[in-house]
Amino acid sequence: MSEETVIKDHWALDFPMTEHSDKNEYVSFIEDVVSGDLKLINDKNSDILIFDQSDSRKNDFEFELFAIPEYSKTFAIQKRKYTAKTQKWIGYVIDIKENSFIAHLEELNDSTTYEIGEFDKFEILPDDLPLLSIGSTFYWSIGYLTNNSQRKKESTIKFRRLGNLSVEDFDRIKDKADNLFESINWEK
Amino acid sequence: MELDFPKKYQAEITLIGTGGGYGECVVAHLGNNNWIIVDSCINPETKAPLALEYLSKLNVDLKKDVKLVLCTHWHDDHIKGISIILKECTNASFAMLRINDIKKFCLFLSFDNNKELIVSQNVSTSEFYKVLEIIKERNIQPQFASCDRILYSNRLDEICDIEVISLSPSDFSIMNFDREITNLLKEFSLSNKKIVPELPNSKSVVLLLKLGTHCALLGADLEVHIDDRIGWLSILNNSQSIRKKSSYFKISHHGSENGYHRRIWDEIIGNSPVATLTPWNISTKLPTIKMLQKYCVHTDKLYMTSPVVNSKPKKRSWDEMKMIEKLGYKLTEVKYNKGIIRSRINLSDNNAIWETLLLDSAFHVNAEFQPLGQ
Amino acid sequence: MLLEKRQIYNFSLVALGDFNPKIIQPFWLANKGLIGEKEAEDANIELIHSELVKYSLTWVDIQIQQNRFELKSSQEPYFESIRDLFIGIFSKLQETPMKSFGINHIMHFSARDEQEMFNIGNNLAPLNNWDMLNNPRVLNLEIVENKRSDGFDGKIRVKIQPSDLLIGSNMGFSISINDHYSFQEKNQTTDNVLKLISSQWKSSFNSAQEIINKLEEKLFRL
Repeated sequence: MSEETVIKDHWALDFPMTEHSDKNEYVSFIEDVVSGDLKLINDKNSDILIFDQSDSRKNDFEFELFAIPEYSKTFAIQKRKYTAKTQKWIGYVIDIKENSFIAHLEELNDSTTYEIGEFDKFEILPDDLPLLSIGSTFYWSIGYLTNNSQRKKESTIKFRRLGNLSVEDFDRIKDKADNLFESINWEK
Repeated sequence: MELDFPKKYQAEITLIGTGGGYGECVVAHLGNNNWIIVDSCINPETKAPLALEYLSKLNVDLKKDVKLVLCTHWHDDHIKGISIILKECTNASFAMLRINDIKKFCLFLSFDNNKELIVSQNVSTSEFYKVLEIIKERNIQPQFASCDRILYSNRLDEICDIEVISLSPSDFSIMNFDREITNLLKEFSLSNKKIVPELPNSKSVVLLLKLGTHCALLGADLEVHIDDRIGWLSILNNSQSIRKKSSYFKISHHGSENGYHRRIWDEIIGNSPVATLTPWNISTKLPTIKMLQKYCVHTDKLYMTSPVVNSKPKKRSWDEMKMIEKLGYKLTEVKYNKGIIRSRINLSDNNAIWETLLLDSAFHVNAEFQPLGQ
Repeated sequence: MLLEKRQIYNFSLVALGDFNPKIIQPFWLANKGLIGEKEAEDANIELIHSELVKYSLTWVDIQIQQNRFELKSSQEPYFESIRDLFIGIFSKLQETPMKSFGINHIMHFSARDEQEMFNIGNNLAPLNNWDMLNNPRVLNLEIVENKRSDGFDGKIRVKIQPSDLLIGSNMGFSISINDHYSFQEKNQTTDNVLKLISSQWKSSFNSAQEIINKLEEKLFRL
């Protein structure tokens, strides 16, 4: 088992599988499918094949389906986007107007003085709009984006999603608060 | 410029401003090497607390001679670096605005500080939390500031008595603050948002410094409210501590209209006092020219730590500026502009007047202005 | 100069430990408030299996095996979001044993021409030491900082090789920096790991930049 946290190959060389550094695991995966330990749970003609543990060892599939060239279609190299000359800020919302919002911005590479900027609400993805409120934090970046051999200037706003508090989180924080309260000699 | 240490029987009040976006603080010498620090602000470039920077230049023994550190407001913007101050000033007691439901306040701080793990930018109360941890570690008792509460007193040899008295917040403001904490818990703590403070500011701690026969009033950020149970009207109507008019006034809330009431100047401030203020230079600009002219009528010794300036974009490389411009954005920088107004008075002389020294960007407002009607 | 030549910046967070890949599916992330619901619906799923889960969102590729957890992106605007996602996931999975993590910076720089590529290789590993070979060229060079200068356990590995993304007339080279932290205790608490990532985040980027700056002087020496 690899003890390294390094990325062994670049994206392009992650696939096809014969050159993949983790190919042993994929080979054993194929063996599981062939032996029937794994079953396909969606359409075998799909581009994406999704597997789960079998109830029985019965195997419906022909081995040829999982020959390397066919199998590697499942792991097609994705088209990637690349960025360059990126400037980044972290901001929080200090005022919301009808069509825009104002934010306090700190440049990630220069956290000395801060800036104030105004942004169009339309720049926010619909999925992120519910996150827009006073105090919500976001990352803002500008730079060049290369996609499918096209390069253009781009601005990106991504609101931070930091997870909901669970009951365990709540209890843990409450314990900490109680401990803080009890360990200080407060005036009566 | 080389700074000189105040004499034994010399009181000093030094207002340090940062240009209107990075906070303010007051450092005061109460005679005989006894210092207090009110609030904290940092140099955004070095992140060092400006109060400590100032006191270190004077070679003040921080471990011994700072007797009181006071926080007029709980939000980080008012007290950035105060935990570093308290850590250094090992002999200082700590005072903060009174809170009734302390347990709930601790819960509020703990929830907010839970965000620290993710990224500290979201935490709005980290300084306060760190202060409480220091208090816990040192096993000292924090003092609560409220109306007419003596936070520090000392007899300066046979010369005079020194007292630091809080005049606010009022009992009603304290009650409102408990309600505000509940709302803040609901709105901000259970989410990952950064807390943006509620206005107007009715909880800020105003301090009266009784320096023998002289008095000084530090107005912090307190505002005037329609409801006379809170803000300045509550002090004017209810305070029992003000027996003499002050000859020094640190004007509240950046000289805003909300921080002004004629009664303050008529009833508790003396004629032509030393009046100091810091600007507010973010989206709104304070003080306005109208207010400055008004203050100039009250005194010919009006000083400001730095001027109100027009906001401009941050200096960056041509490429970076072009990119921002081409994408249609307009960013304005909140500039850091340090200014210091140091005022001293001889405590052994009942007729002494304040002597003021201006450093860095601080300036004499009257010299730039004609008062209204003149 | 090198910054001007940088065409691609790929980034990944890799952790080694004991994971349960099947838990960390897109809808689990949405349920925990770590991604949006629409993002979860639109996730590009390649494989969901108890031993291997692999899918991508518009801004991050996620690959989880039983002993290895990987988040990667080729878009700089989202690098901090990768950190947030990592911390968010393991804040929810507090009992996950982790033995190490790596912050990987892989940058690709364009080269003017073949002569420049040759000079870079020759500056890194003088080829006159290899005159027993016909027409020697440097294929790749990897150097490890065996003992971290910041006192943490782990290593920093720097690898330089021809770029496999900048090829042909647009040739270039890549510099990969693996900022690796390991833990002496067999399994570090999740909280400590997350605190370490948070505290080391900025310095990892600063160190990577410093390495690049220092290399610049050496790579382009005539």
